[in-house]
Amino acid sequence: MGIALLFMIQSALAVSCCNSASTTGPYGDAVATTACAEIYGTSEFDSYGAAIVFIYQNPIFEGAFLKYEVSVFGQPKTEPLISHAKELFESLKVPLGKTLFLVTLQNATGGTKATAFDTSGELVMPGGPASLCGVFWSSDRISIQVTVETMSGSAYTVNYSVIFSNFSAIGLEKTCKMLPELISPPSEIKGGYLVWRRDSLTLSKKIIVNVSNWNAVDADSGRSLGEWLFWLSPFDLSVNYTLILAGINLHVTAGITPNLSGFVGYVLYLNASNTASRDYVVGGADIKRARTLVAYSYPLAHMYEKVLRAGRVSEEFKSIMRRYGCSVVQHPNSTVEVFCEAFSRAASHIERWKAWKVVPVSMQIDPNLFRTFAAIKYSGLYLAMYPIDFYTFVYDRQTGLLLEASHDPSVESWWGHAILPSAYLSFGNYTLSFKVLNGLINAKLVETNIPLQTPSLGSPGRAEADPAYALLAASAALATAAAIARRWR
Amino acid sequence: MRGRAAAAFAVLTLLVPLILLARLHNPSPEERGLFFGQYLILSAGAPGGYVSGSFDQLLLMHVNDTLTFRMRGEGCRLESYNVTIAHLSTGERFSFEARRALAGYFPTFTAPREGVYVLEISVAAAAGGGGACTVVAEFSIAASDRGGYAKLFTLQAWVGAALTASAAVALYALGRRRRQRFAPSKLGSLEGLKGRLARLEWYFGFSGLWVVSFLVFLVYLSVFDRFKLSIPQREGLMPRVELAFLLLASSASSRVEPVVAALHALLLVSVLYCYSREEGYEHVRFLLGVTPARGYLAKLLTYLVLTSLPLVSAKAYLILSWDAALVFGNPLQFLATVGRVWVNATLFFLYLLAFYSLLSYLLPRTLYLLFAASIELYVYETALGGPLMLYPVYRQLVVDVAEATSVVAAFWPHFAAALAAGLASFYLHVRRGEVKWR
Repeated sequence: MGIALLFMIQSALAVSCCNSASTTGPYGDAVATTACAEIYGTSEFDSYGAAIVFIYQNPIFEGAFLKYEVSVFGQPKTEPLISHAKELFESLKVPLGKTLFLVTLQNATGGTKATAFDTSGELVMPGGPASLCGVFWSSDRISIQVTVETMSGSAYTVNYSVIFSNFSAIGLEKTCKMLPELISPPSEIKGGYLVWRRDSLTLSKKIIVNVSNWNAVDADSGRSLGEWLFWLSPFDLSVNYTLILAGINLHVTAGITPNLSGFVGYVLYLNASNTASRDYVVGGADIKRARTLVAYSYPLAHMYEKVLRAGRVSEEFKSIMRRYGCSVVQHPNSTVEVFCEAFSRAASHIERWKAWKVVPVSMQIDPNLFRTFAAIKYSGLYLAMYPIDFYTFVYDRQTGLLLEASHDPSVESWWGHAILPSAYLSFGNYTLSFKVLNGLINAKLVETNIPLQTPSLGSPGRAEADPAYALLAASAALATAAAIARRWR
Repeated sequence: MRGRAAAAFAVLTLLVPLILLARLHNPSPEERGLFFGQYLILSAGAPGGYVSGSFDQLLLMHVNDTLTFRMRGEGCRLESYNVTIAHLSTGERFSFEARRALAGYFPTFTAPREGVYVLEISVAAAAGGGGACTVVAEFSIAASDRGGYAKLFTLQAWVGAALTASAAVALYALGRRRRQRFAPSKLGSLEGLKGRLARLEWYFGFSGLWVVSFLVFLVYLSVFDRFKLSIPQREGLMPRVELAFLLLASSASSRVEPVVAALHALLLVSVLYCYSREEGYEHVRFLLGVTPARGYLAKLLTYLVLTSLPLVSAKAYLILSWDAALVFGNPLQFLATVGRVWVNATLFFLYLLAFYSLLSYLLPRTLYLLFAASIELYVYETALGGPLMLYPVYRQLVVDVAEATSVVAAFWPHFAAALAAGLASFYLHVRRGEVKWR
């Protein structure tokens, strides 16, 4: 009897882990919900059947603008580089602002490979011929302004500006000769360094957003710059799962196979069941978190895995995988397979709607391990989906506007690549890539002329006494009284 | 015996709020997250003209949860809409009407109280050049800060602690005054009605099966989502109150609930049908002079009461917690719903008993039965099926509270097999002969 009782309690505890949120992480909730909904055959979360083109009453209009404030939060991860930058700024008597970036000028064609940066103090950080120049870039205040200049049935023309206040920067003269042509002439040249000091520096680009596939194109060069991030496409707003190509990091080598171009693409996984953890206030409009959508970096590089002789798979591992929309199958011969169905399904649907697609790359890692990686094919590039930097993007569910883009504070980003403001800053054959040094980056919508205020119904209330508990307590008191009375007799 | 039961009951009043407090700190994804659904509101062919339609939807929300919704049209443009949200049991209503330019903006609703709400939308759209006009709405609810509930549950825990402590002290003090025990060996010497009652009392007190069932009630409460947000699919033409009770009953559920139910059933079968053969129940039955057939049925009834009572009580507890006004306003409908859940749960447990009791005859040792049946449960039973179709049958019968006859019809080969197994088990248990008790 005792064994039976113990057995039952242990079993109950084991199964309850599926239902608990003991495994932390930002991705899990909706993924787990989804996975379980799928497992239990509910249809609430599967709406791809409804993925048809809907005509939205589009909130975007000509002259609409969005203004974002960029700030830094959290602890710095690259202390040696910060120390070196501080020494350099002090030695050259250049004021150092609140935000410090390492900005690299990259060959935008992405045809060559970069290597990991060197922390020895040499300013030319990323090696290889593609990384022409590295600059310590500092500013007190950064804002991003997006203005819709024209719109037609097929495209938006958008002005994308990044404004750095109290801007200062230092770069090696011998490697950064082309930079003055792209941003502005330096204030001085001192000790072999180009030194910039400005009250304000504005980098502007004209972007054409293709309405049919949400691809952002440089209006000057016609080069594809990635997916448009500042408001969601009708497709993304109409489905429950989708993937967003949030950025391309030409700074990091990712050589899964020689067939890949060797760089990293950041993919966000958007589950419409996920909301932000807080409310937003933009221009006096209160956006409740129920009105928000959150897209997270997909934390895996692969979409399928098969491990021979894997032994026993723990329930914890299964639980974590479930949170990422993956199911774990353990065969009797101790082979273990991991299928990431939610990702695969989202990947198969975006092919029809977006300018990029997920290409499975299957590899035998070792005799016992077989994996199918998810590579990204976009504009002639094959990118690896290595999860090295983690982001959260919060959108308004009603208008689709980007409310906040941030590094994910709950997961450590390795490189600190700042999708904003790096995105869309392409000049001729070069791109500027921003890596934040003194923390993590956050861009928040602070002003817009797009109406966000919506009517509010109902009112806050308070939790009331629980009648079921009152009934239970009264019954317990009655039962106790009856038992006492009986014994007293 | 009655004192122990009263003490255990008093402990519930302490443990229930503690379990709910634990859920606040460790909520399930559904509690924290958002339910999201897409619903067709209007679909009509109207080349060049206006079309209109209406829609209503029940929602289960908790205090300060926020509902947002959005509508979009395919082949047409929204011209106006009217939305009303009403708390079903209290009748409190909130309305909003939008026309023309404002029809592109949708209100946000904050729930002032817990319970079932009715959302009604009527919409008018101007159709485009031709073809069909389709209007789809999306709903989402975000959970609020649960600080208010934490205070309430803490207060309840204090009340429970006081009640439990006073019950324990009183029962201990009184227990010292008069102590009476019935050992199985003494049961045979007791005569008449007193002896029968004593044996019956021993029977119900034996092995603390009822304590396990109390514990299982707590397990159910801990795995159920206290703050479940629900936007159900529509269920045909049914009175709204009935639909609301069904929404509440089906929301009081958990993904792991079938496993808990099956393990509880398995444990009871192992004790009632295996362990009893080794010693215990069969001896008492023999002393009472009851035939094996009636003994089998008595154990069956005990099993049904002990398995279904915690499950149905936990569901009823949550229904009462969520919308007491609805329960007190419609007590008969509440009883009808709980009764329906009970009937379905009983049918499910009977279904399980048929297989497990037959297995208990084939594997008469308690541990053998536990291992064999639990391995079957873990390895072969899945959400998509399995030899017993445990999850699908449970989901339809107990979670969705579907019509029992339709579930039996849908799984008729399994229920036919269960009937055969149940009859075989009854026959074998009854025919195996009397144990020669010393």
